Amino acid sequence: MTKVINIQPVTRIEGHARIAIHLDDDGNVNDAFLHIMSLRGFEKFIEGRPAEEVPRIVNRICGICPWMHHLSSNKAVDGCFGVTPTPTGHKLRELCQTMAHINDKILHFFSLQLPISFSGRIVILRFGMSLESLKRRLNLQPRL
Amino acid sequence: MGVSVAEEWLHSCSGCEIAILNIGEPLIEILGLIDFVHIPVLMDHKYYGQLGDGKELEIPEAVVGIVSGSVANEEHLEVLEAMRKQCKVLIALGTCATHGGLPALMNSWGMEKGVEDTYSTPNTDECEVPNHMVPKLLDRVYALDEKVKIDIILPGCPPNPKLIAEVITALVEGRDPVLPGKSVCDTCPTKREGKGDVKQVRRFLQNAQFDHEKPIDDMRCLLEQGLMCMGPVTAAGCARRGAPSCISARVPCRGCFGPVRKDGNQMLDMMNALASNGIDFKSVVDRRSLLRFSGSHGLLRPLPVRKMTEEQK
Repeated sequence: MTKVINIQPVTRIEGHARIAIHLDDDGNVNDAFLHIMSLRGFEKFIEGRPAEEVPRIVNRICGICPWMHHLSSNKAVDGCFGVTPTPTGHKLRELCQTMAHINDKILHFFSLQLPISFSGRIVILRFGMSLESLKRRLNLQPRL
Repeated sequence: MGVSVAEEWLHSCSGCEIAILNIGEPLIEILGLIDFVHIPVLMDHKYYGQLGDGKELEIPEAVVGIVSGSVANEEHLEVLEAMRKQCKVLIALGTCATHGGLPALMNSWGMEKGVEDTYSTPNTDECEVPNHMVPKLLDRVYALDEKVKIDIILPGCPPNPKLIAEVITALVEGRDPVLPGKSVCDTCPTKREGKGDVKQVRRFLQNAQFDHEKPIDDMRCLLEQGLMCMGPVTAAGCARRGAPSCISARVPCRGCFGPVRKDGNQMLDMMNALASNGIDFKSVVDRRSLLRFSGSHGLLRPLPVRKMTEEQK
């Protein structure tokens, strides 16, 4: 019987994924799968909704990056209505997108990736934190 | 060693977990009181062992369990039941968990039909719905309390970080959490003149009328301006800077905290509210989308297929 390495769930992303690596009798990789475990079907359930409501529905596609979905659907709705945003509106959207990028990077680095790489636990890091305090927080007992 | 907390996400977007992080500074204090033992979005802890060699679903025992997202397939059900078994207190976090949330809009078609249609849109190549090693879908999207016993519900899309902090600290201190039991309108500072000259609600294609230099409490109630605002039938709790979140951005409430009473029906209640104010409820363009955040508990169902008689054809 072949052995399966089952990495489930893939953590710290949005999207319920699972990686299944199938090994053969000699322990070599025989096959590998990335399974996406759930589908919400936004494509389907925005059918029949008023177009102007869509930006406030599809931003719930991802809780980590809602802004991107909000802004791109705004663009799509503009296309449907055949309108161009005013220069101010356009700048406002660019500002939103930039803020979302900054937020995304900070979230990923400080909250999702860095603490886990060091300690395997949730650690809260702050700007302006002393090096001593940083070390103390990160040097908790690793979970593995 | 603090109170152990396990967190799990089901049919959701992980926004609820980000809301936990958004507690901000107070979270540092809270993390001193509690110990997260399992929270997939924020911490690397797997179901089948860290090396992926386990055979059984492993969720560590915890005093407090938090679950976000609704139940839509057999894996969700299995994880939810494991959480109920392992946790003493189970909290449903977010509107998906408490009332079905946006994913429950799928109930207007039924899960099978909805997913089939998703995989066969006019502009995609023909393909089959995947069925190899992915969990089997349930017939529709369920709220958590339709499947297991839930002790505390904390709706919101996303939930208010302050309320999450309140519930967690209350549980640690051994008291009942204080949650708002009012409607969005009860916490809304906009001016209500109550003249009732609006006869129809209009689509949100033009902005509401307001003076952007003046504060929110100087703006006229959005429903009285003829916009479809779901404040009267939506539970309060979203207010972070005085006014409810959407109102403070000068857009109408969309009902993301679910009905005010737990078993309320946002669509019926809203229709009632409109009719009793002399507004023609037929002017609402998409009635079913009033249930967009609370379609579980059997509220959204596939429409019956209308049989046409020979003459109508």
